[in-house]
Amino acid sequence: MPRAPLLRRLACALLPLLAAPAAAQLRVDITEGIAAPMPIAVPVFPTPANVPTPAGDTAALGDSISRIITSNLQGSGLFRPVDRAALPRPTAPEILRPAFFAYRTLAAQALVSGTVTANPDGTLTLSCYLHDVFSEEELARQGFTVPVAGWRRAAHKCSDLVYARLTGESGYFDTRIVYVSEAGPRTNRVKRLAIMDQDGANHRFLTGGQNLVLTPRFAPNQQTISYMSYEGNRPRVWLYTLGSGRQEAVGTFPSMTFAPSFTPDGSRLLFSVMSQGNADIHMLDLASRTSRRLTSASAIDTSPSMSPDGRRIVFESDRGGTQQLYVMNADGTGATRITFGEGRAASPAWSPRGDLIAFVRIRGGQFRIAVIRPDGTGERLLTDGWQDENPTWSPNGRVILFARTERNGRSTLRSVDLTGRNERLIPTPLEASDPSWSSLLP
Amino acid sequence: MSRRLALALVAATVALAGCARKREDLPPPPPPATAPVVPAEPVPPPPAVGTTAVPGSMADFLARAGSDRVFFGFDRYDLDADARATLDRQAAWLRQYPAVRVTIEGHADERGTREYNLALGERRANAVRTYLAANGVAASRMTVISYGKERPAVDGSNEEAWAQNRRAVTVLVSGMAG
Amino acid sequence: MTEGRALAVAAAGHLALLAALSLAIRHAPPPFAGDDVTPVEFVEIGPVTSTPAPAPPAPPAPAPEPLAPPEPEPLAPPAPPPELAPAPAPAPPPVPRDRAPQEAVPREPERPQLRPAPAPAPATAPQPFDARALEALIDRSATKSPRRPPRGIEAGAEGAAPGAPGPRALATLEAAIRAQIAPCWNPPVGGEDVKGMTVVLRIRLNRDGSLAAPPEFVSQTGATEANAAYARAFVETARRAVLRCTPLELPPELYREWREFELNFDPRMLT
Repeated sequence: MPRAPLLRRLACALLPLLAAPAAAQLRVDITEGIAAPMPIAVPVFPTPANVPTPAGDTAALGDSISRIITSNLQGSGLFRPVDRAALPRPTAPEILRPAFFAYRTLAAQALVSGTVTANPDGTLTLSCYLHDVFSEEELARQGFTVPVAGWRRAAHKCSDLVYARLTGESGYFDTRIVYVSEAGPRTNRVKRLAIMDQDGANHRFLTGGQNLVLTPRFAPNQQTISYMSYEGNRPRVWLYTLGSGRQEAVGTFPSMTFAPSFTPDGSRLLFSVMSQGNADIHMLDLASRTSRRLTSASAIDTSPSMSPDGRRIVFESDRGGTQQLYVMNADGTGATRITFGEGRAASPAWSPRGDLIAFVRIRGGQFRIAVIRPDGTGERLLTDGWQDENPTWSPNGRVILFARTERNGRSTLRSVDLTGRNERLIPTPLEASDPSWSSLLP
Repeated sequence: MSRRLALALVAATVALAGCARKREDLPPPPPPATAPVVPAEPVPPPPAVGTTAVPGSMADFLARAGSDRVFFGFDRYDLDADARATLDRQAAWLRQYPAVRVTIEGHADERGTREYNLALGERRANAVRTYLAANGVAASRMTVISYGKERPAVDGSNEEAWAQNRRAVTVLVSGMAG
Repeated sequence: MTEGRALAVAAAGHLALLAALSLAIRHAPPPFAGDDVTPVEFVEIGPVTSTPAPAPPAPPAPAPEPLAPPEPEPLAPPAPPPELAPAPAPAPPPVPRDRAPQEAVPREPERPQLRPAPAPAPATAPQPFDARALEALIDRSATKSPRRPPRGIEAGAEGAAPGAPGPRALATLEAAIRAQIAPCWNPPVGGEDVKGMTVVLRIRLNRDGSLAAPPEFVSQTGATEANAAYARAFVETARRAVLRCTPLELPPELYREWREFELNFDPRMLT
């Protein structure tokens, strides 16, 4: 093979010449874009056959479902749904072959569509499709079968599918909020535990209002809520089991217990125990009901919140003179202060992503929601209310729910995203405080 | 302070059952005064002439102690002279009626976060309990409970309301007359 | 096996059998009492395709004949498209095609360009190159363009081969591309772990500035196992920007330079 070496030599000689133009190829850096919500189209979901159901006929449900998805996506601040009135009304057979041109004309970049079908067994199936309007590719599809009464969950699941596929982060629409519903004069407030869907639907009360209740917190499995109740004039931490409605006091401490929060694995409960004017953080194993004390400073140590990896706990303490945030190991060792600067810091909540801690920055008579990295850097204020309190995270760590009290005493729930730009009121039948956001429902 | 003293005098002589409620209408207590020291160990005087309060009753307690509550500075739980004077009178009355049991309620104003205020309220109640115990009231007769910022005495978001709401209240729960 | 069946059935147009097909209830219904959360069952509704389905029938139940006619056909033409938020970047000479309300003429002829197709011969006459417009562009973006050559260097002044564009002409070209793509790029808002993510796409254009082939993925930085879903969404935003904003209007005499080039999407300048 005499030719092979020659060829190789030739190739070696020529390759640099070939490579040179390639290396010189134009390369343009795009370092700017539009930080605006993505235009998205959510037309009415058609039904292959209009069938009456206890929740309305399937055509009406298709309309309601597209409204819910529209509202969810808009509320995230990351999407800008195109005006529904301008959208085509696809028929069921057209769902797989959308009129992309029409959506491009409307400047939509993505299309959420699907159908609603009543099944013979009385359930509903929502089919949910996501298309890229410009590449005309199908990005995702999923069917959801629900009892008729749960049709809203199907709409939330579809919203989560769309959110996750387009943002690359998990959604948070199929979630619930437990909070304290408030009524009556400020000097004698009636407070009740209440639960509702993330968008305020399916609201119901869990307690009757005879006892003062505070600070409910969801367990990671969403089946249990820990809260503080004044039942029997003994303020202490309780557990509420959803479904059964069973309530039980936690532990046998002789003094006040408060500020409960579950560990991320749900197996343990963190809370404060009051003793001789001091509050210490304890951790109680829910299976064995044994507890151990984690802090022992002569101070108010409270509002514990564990990191998602279970290794650390952030809490507030006035051991240095005023309320500040501290991070310690899960066994109570190595507490390190992370907030400095003007004012106080309270009510920390560790993000489910682990990267940030939300808290209340107290300064100049104002409570504002802020975030900070666990190492104490990067503090940012997100809100500017008079008293914004009790931050709780969406399960994807992108949105924070909190309670706002106005100077007139009126209290409402609000959400804000991490940019601080997209603040929204969460509707509640009465006044509201102390929200806790569930993880994604299974 | 003179107003408080006057109030105490009025209460002692007229013995108004609604004294505590009336107290709430007053402006916040002025800063600790230099002056009049209420005798720390007065033998409880017999009910004044004209009083309608049954000895050992709630009304009697309010009349003789002057107030069922003491007030605190912002984010503080130490007892000033004013508070100690009130508690001295409460202690005297409680020593006279040893069957009476009390609950000391600690409260905070709205300018603290909810959970911190629960602890702060308890600290205030505890300060009162400790003081009364040091003045001869058996600790076993007293329980404490904190309401944090959940039960303000006065509705309002101003200095005056806040001053009234930062308080510890001695509530008679059993053993009293009437 | 179930999957295979599902595919077969899908191909046969029997997607109606959703319940029967339901591949796996991935989540058992939560053990709640009846008055609590209602269960959701995840059901398969046919394979995910990366290309438009070859017109299978309706996804779910192809009911024989709808009892009630579903909804009026979309007879009325869609209302005028809503305005997009004004772009912060300098407005490029050509308007992104999705934001031209008057452009209601079907652009179907462009469709084939999304499929890999050999570059057709330039049919349209090259448009006159307005150098002043491009100069204006580069002047405005000068501070953002690290590659901007020092003033005074004339195009072709490097003694390169005749016709080879000088650094200034190249910088001008870059600025023109940048100014037309950036307003179409809607990068996703990510968290801490996605800072530093970038993607490079290779672009092949016809002489009329339209895509000669779909944007081709070249490389990506910052992608990890943990943020894979985000990384995919990130690439798609870049690709979507190109699809939205082509055809580009670029100086025809420099076609050799922009016939094929790379775009590096790097959101570091975004908050």
